[in-house]
Amino acid sequence: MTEQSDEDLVRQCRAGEIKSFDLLVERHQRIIFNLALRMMRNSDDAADVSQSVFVKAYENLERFDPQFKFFSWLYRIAVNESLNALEQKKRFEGLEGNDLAADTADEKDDDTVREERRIQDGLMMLSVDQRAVIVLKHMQGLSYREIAQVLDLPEKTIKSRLFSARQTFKDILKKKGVRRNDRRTAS
Amino acid sequence: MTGEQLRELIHRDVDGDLSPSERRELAGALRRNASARKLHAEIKALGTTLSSVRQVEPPANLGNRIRAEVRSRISTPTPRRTWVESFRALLETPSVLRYGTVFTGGLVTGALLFMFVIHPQPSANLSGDVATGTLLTHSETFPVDVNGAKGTLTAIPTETGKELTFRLTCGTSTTTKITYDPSRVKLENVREVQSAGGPVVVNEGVVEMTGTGPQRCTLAFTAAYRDSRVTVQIASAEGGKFNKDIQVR
Repeated sequence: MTEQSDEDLVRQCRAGEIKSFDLLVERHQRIIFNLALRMMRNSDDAADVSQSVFVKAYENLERFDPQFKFFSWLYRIAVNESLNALEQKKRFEGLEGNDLAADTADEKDDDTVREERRIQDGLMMLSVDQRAVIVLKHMQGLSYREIAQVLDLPEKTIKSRLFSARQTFKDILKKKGVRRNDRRTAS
Repeated sequence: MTGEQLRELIHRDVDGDLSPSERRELAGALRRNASARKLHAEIKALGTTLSSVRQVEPPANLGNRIRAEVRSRISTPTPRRTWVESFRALLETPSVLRYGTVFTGGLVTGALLFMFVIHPQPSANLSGDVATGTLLTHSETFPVDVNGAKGTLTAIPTETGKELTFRLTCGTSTTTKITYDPSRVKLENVREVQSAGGPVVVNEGVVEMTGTGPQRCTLAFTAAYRDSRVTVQIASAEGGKFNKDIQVR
């Protein structure tokens, strides 16, 4: 049997089939969690954001325009929810806490883990706008056009923001001494 | 080619966005320019590094958490009591509470009668949801004495990227102006500002109507959203008789 498309599942949800929404959750929770995690760094926060993303999506399903991809719409909610959560966090408690580095502390502290921590630290040093384009482009694999849809910005703006974000990130990583992938694969 | 153009080509090449001719152009520039070659290598390596960051498994209970939360948001209808049961329940309540309930009910009924029968008013708000990328039109006809009436149009989009259309139609003996103040109305594109029976002037920040005698006006509000939310208010101002408050969320 062929897998149902997101759009089919959305149609069924709108007709009252809650189980179809469960399938959408199943299908997209991992990617939304990872997007939130890279934006927030903290896995508890990322889980909270993921939950509110799907709740918002469900509550606003009638507003979803089928001419867009469902995942773009979901990504947009996820980016907005992450930004809201970051704003709240900054306002109420600062950005300290149970972050990705602490979450992975029990993992084998090998080079890969250390490097990923440095990358995440570097991401957190970018502005949220820059972080969003880097995450969407490189960690979620979206095209310029898809990022433009998610962030509701012209493609031209996305390109210039991405290029300057990469430049800044490159400088940050250089300062933090992150080994680049060419060296890692060689070792 | 300027340095900026070269940098853009390098970044776009890393993203696989170049046409064959642009690729050839970049290859030539890289052959001639050592620092461009270095930048190209660095950006390429950065892209590879970022893309190789592993996906993290979400907490095992996340899916269940989400499903439970979504289900909790679905309103479950509560069994409704019949009129007889409600009346019986009221009789069984203590007398102070009973008389209090009857008195409050009377007050509310009186207020509603005054508002809608004895003293009818045009409705104050017009609300609706607009789906992303769709078009929604609200319109409402209301009486207005246009003699010297003035109002302020205030549109408050909560996000950028909106397209809005305002249209005010009054009697033909009326001159209307619908205007908006760009310092408050942060709209990317107001597609149409139009009225019947008079000129329309944009950029003055007020709604003005001049004419003779009471007229019936129709204020049609059309909003085409590219984004999820916008609030638009058209409110009365300066003691004029124009008094319309429309909010579209």
